[in-house]
Amino acid sequence: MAHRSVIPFGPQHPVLPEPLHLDLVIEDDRVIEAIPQIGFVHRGLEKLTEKRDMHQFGYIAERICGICAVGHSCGYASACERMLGIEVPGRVQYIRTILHELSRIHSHLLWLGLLADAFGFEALFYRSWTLREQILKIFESTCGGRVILSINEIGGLKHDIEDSELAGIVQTLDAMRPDYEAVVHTFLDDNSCGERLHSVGVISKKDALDLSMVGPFGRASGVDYDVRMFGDGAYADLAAFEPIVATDGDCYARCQVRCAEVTQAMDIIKELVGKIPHDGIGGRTKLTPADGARGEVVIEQPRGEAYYYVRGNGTKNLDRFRVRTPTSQNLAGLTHALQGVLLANVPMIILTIDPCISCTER
Amino acid sequence: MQKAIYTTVGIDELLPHVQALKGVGARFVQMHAERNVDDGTYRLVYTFINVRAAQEHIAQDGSYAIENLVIEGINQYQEIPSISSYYPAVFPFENEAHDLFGLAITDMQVDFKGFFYQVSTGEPMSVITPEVKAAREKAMKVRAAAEAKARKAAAEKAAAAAAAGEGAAGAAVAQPAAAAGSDAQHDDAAAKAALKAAEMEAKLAAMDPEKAAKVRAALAAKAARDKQKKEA
Repeated sequence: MAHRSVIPFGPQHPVLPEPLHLDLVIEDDRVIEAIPQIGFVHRGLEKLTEKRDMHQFGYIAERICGICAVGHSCGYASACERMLGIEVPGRVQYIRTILHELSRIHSHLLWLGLLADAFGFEALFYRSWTLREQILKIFESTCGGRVILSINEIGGLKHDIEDSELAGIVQTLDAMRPDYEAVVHTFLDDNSCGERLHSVGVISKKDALDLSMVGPFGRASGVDYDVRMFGDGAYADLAAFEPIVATDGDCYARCQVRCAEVTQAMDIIKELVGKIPHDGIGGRTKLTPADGARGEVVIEQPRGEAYYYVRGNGTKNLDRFRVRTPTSQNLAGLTHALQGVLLANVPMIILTIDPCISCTER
Repeated sequence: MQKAIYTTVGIDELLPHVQALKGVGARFVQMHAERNVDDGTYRLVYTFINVRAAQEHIAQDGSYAIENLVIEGINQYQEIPSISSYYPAVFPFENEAHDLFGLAITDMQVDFKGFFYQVSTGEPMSVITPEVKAAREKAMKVRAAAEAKARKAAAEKAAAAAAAGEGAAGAAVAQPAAAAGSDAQHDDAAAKAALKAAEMEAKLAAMDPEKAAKVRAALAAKAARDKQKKEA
């Protein structure tokens, strides 16, 4: 029997922008078991509802994570609106969805850049992030911030985005497409990329279902589940929506799914801009949730299904705020994907679940 | 349109329910703990979505359901069985409920034994701060005052209706109504006093402890002086 040893991986590691620790039990250079450890930077944001009222907490919810900021603010606002029985205008739903899809594009482009960087393809990393920069410029020109947009509030939006600005977004995305397709071509068809991604960290569909995996990580293993297919909010008005699914369950399939989701997001934005209603942007309302009133919502964040829950107690503060982020749900899948792989492939596999520790350490 | 179904189950019924949900192919979404400020007990909420059933419902009437299993009234010494044998993805949330709320979850497949989160205060989510307690009491007093006001308004309305009635019969009805009004006024005054006390308590809770102690002593002395004056 080969000698077994334990290698600590992280919390500081070049492939990890945030602290995640793994105890890797290895035999020769093959991983036998991986035990994850988080909690190094837990912030206790859920407890802050005791000190911040519902409106103030919206700013905190948005700061759970820099990459998924728009999704967090949409999820929090929607859960509160559900608890309070507020029906927001259609334009609010459309603008939230457009911004959320833009954030999916920027998140996936960020991930593609990190992936290229992880396997040493620097030029591809630059090109991915150059494209991402255009999305950040859209955010800056329409909302004033590149990451934290602060446009959502409970009951509506703080300000409108003019139709001309929305048309400009579509133009920018259309102009991006040729460059984006060239980047995707390199990721999916170039040998140097394919050799690092094919047949690495394979998870079967059965395992993905058993481990309740979410997002592109699950869909790459054939799990045809995407919250957007339930048609909540503006998604209900799309002509058609099908989750993007791959079947190989390896790192290449995860890359394939995310590449296709960027194009899908561009199409969704284009369709919604063409249909956007003009029925106002709602506004801040007096917040008086009944004691024990609950609101919950699931949304599809770039990394997968996220769950938001709020419970009122008759005061302006929430009794409980809960957010379950996609990375927390995918930790079990991550440990499974690492079993039996070569030690050299561990960084690649960790990267392909796109772990977001800020979200997990809320 | 999303709906939420909450089913309250006992601790003993949790695993059979989870097994049934797993049997019909429901996805595990999340699990979280909550603390009841009023009685200090805990609540666990397990959330699932049956994707196939949801799609069928959407095709029928455009709605789908998030299913929740709720265990109410848990004390920290009660043992709750882990559902990780059915849904392994629950392990971060069960460890979280243990580390942040101090709940005793047994037979976890991945058990960090209290070292999942590195927190400076043990079981931080189980702490009920004075501010929370005071705000909660204030809200209850405000609600009591609103109810007393509503009762008073109803009594006045009944009295007015009775006065508008005919002759002696009308006058006879007005008497109990007036009595009810007097009770309501008494309730109202009591509720106002309680509200004032709660507001003061909230202010004191937010103060520096030393200053709060001095203010409390001054208030107690003033109450004693007032009582002496009344007796004199």
